[in-house]
Amino acid sequence: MPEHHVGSEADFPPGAHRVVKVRNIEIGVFNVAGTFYALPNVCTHQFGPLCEGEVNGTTACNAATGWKFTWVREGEIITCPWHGLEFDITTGQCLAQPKVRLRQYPVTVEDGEVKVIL
Amino acid sequence: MTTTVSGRSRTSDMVIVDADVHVSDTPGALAPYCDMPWRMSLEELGQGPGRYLDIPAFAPSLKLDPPIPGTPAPRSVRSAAEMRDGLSALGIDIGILFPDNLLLFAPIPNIEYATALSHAYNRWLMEEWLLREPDLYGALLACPQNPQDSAAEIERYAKEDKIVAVYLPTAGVNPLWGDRRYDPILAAAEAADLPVLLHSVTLVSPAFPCQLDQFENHYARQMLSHSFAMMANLVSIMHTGVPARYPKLRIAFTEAGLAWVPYMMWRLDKYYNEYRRLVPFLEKRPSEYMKERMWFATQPIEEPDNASDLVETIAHLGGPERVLFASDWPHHDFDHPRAITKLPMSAEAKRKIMGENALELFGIPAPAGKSV
Amino acid sequence: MADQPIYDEPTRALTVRRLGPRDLPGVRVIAAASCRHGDAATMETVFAAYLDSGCSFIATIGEEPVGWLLAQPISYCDDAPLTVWVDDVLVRPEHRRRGVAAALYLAFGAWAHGGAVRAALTRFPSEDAAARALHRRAGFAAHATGAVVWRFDDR
Repeated sequence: MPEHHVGSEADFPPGAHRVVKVRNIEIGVFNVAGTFYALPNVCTHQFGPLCEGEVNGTTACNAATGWKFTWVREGEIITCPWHGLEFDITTGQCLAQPKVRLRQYPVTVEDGEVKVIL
Repeated sequence: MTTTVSGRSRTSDMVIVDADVHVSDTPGALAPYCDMPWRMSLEELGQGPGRYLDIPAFAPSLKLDPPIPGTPAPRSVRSAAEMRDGLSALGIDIGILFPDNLLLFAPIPNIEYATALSHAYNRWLMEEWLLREPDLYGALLACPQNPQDSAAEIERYAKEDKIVAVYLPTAGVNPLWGDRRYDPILAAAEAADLPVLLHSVTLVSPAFPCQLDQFENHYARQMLSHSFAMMANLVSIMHTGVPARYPKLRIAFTEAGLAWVPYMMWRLDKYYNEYRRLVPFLEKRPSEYMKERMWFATQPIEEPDNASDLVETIAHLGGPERVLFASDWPHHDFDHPRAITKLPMSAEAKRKIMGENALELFGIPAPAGKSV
Repeated sequence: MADQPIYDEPTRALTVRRLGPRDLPGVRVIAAASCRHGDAATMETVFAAYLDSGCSFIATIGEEPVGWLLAQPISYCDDAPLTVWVDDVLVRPEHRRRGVAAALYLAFGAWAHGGAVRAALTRFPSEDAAARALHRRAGFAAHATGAVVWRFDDR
């Protein structure tokens, strides 16, 4: 079955994320301000458990910020606990290596149940 | 110093631009070009013994080595005509001029004096060298002691065809060239479309990375001086986001050879993965900025037993497009153009390294009688 | 999508090739014969993903489909697969113990080593000795996270 039940909505309040096992693969499921995302729990760098890391924002400093250090994307960035690579939860993109992105699994919430589609 | 004609005939089919040659800049020679009251200081220094890269407040240096008989005496080039002859003997068409003594300019602490000295050098370079020989071009001396004045100096010379770059005196510069106090200099160079060229010299000073006094002899200091200076300044430039904040600025690193570059590219990239949030102004990997906006001069070219190892190293640092031939004439460890043209590379790669890259980087037309 | 070489050893006339859209009937046969099936529509959706992603392999003897290796990219570089997760390696019961799974991994490895992907990972129950042996011989190594990893970028 392509839809896999991974918990109830109450298990994933806004800001929470957990690693769930689906078939033989681990998936990180994230609730970012009410929108659900799911990423493989495998970092592209050395295959560490990416989704066991912390969810935060990150820094930006460019012409648009007037070259001032600015804190951005709060709650939208997952950092791999092994070597600190940052990934955008909402797109799967690796911030330090923009050509690299993680697969994103579709997530549905129906009748309070969270399902990931593999 | 004699050179053979055969070297010239093998290279006579390509334009050869030398990105790094040195003029003998003595206090006495610069004095007439220097504003008062500092002209008097230079006149007095000019009356002292003629020392080489070892002049108080002009080429300040801690010289620790006893002389050993048999060491070749240093060479100096004292006039534009002499430089023209010297380069022609090596088969070189065009030279980019750097100072001798003022390779040690950065540690001079007196701001007013250093400012006046930088103006004097630039005037003297124009009058006595660049305007006297058609194929000699100059790198303007930047003044790290006075960034605002240096920026104005760059603007003043921006339209001069014979000024094709800004020389960033790197030996003993403190802090290193990525520090934000130097932003006016980098901004002015970017606006004037002049590449900045970092050039160091072997130096013992308390400023990082020049604390080389523990080494017993010059062999060790020569090993580390230029290499550490270029590596440290590259890191300094990266860590404050210079390539991102000045995206049109072109930067060249001299006199540290080539083999250090892939190591720095790989290491800068590796830690960018982990520390990106400390340097978020870098929106690309450091090596990408290096492969787009940075160049590396060949001298002193590495001479591995297996020459193709060096060719592979050039591929690692981004290919022949990144490389500028430099002889470092008339210094003791200069490279003859043959040191590069003998490498197992395509003719196209050699043409780029020996002259095409430099003509494009410095905006110099090909010399009369030779097409690119 | 050319056929891989025919492997004479240990199974005669075994062909392994990358799974493509024309193999939908074949995967249905394998699923049915191995009691791995849900409703038809679900299976079509599941298999479509594998058929489309181009990282899976099918083993046939003549025209008879006998096994599959189903894998999906879990990361991309410039839209090309970068890392791949092997979801399932399955051989029809009557064709087991004949090296079909090993042959599937051999073809997968040849394709991956050609530059297609950087690494493959998978996970299986640690007490499954046969799976452990299969994956070790294929080229996987134990990884700190409990998965096994096969790197293709070490040449």
